[in-house]
Amino acid sequence: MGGISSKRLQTPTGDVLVFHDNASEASWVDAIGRDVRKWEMRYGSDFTTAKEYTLTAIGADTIVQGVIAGRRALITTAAAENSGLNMQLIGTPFQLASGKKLYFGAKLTFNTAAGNDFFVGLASTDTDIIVTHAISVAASAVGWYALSSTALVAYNEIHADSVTTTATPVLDTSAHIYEFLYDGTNLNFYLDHALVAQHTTFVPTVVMAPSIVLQSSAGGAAETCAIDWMRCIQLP
Amino acid sequence: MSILSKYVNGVQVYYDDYEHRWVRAIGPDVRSWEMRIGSDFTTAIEYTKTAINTGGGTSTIAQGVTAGIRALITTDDADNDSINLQLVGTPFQLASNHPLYFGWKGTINEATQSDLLMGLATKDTTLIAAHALNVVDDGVYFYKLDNTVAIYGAAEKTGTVGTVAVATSMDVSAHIYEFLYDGVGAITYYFDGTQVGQITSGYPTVVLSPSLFFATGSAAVKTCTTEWMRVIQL
Repeated sequence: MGGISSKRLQTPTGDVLVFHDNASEASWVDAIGRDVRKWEMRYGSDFTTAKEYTLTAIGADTIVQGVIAGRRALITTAAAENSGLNMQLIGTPFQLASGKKLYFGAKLTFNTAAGNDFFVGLASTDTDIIVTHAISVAASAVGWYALSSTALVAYNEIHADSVTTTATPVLDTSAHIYEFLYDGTNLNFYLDHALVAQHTTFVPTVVMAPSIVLQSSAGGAAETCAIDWMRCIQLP
Repeated sequence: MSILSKYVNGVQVYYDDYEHRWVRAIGPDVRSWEMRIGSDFTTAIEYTKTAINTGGGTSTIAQGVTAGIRALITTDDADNDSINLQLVGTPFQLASNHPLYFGWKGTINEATQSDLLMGLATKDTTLIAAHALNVVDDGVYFYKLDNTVAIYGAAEKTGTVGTVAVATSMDVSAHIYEFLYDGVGAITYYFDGTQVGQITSGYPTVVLSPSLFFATGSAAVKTCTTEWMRVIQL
């Protein structure tokens, strides 16, 4: 990261001051404005289900505060195929709406490159976003996923209608930054700050919650996902 | 709305259309609290929550399922059913040379048959009781009571309340209620950005907690939504 810059962005109700990573103007880290909606996974989050998050574990799957400095959470699955954790913020505080820019980003590290199924992004309330190595969103979602392979997919869906783009870089065991920016009309997906795709159709319009899912793939090994940070910012 | 910043007491304060409307302050000793998206409303975790349920259901406060709503209070369906919410701890205290901002943007779905209070108060589980102010000790707040659409800004010290009247009547639209203590000797109240009045004496100096109270004033479920609620003290 090469520093932070700020810019004023015009919204339908006036200006908002947005701070972004110098690596990409689309990589928002903060925004200041009266009606800004911002959520960020806290250090010290309470991961007891039904407190801050709704957690749905299939087996003996856990999420805890990271014990490694900088890690806000560590998800660990049981060593069983398809075992895993589906986590959503309680409430559905975000909704893509015309003219209202929205940023979502997460910095994640997995312990194996092709040994898991994961999704990170925004989704309508759903306790099984991934089922048997396949996306199984009941209503709407937007984000990134990989399904038992190293292929990283930018994706958005309204019910069964979806758009996907597979990123050129493949998943590995290093930390990567998964982001998308809704520009008020279209969805722009970024991997490690590089634009991967712009999706213009099937952009969800319902209320959604920040969501993350990790499940073990066919190998049935215990998988982990470390969350350095995860945030969502929407302008009025 | 335009975001600008200024230095107050050596602290960088961001504000929007109005210089009194602080939205962020950056400084080593700034005391800032904002109701979070993702708050835990389980009682005694982040908040002390007191529900009155004399009807057939339960008064609740929950994360808003409508985008942008940080909290939704839904009362039970008997007169006086309510939610009384206070942040755990009393992190704020009016003190000389320490200006303080409070703001709340919210909506109630019943302008007349309801009670509403939001601001800072000493620890109190019944800020309003039987449609009457019931803050036992101290507070700085806005309120409206059942059977009226009159809104007041208030400062209360050991049970004695001073008020300023908001010219606008309560309705069911979203409004912004704010007050700014100047750190010298005056609390100025604002409604939707417009100055309502000022209280220069009889305000509290004890520790206070961000507080919200909403009650139904009839035998029907009523709701109160909070879009945002923040306190910033320098």
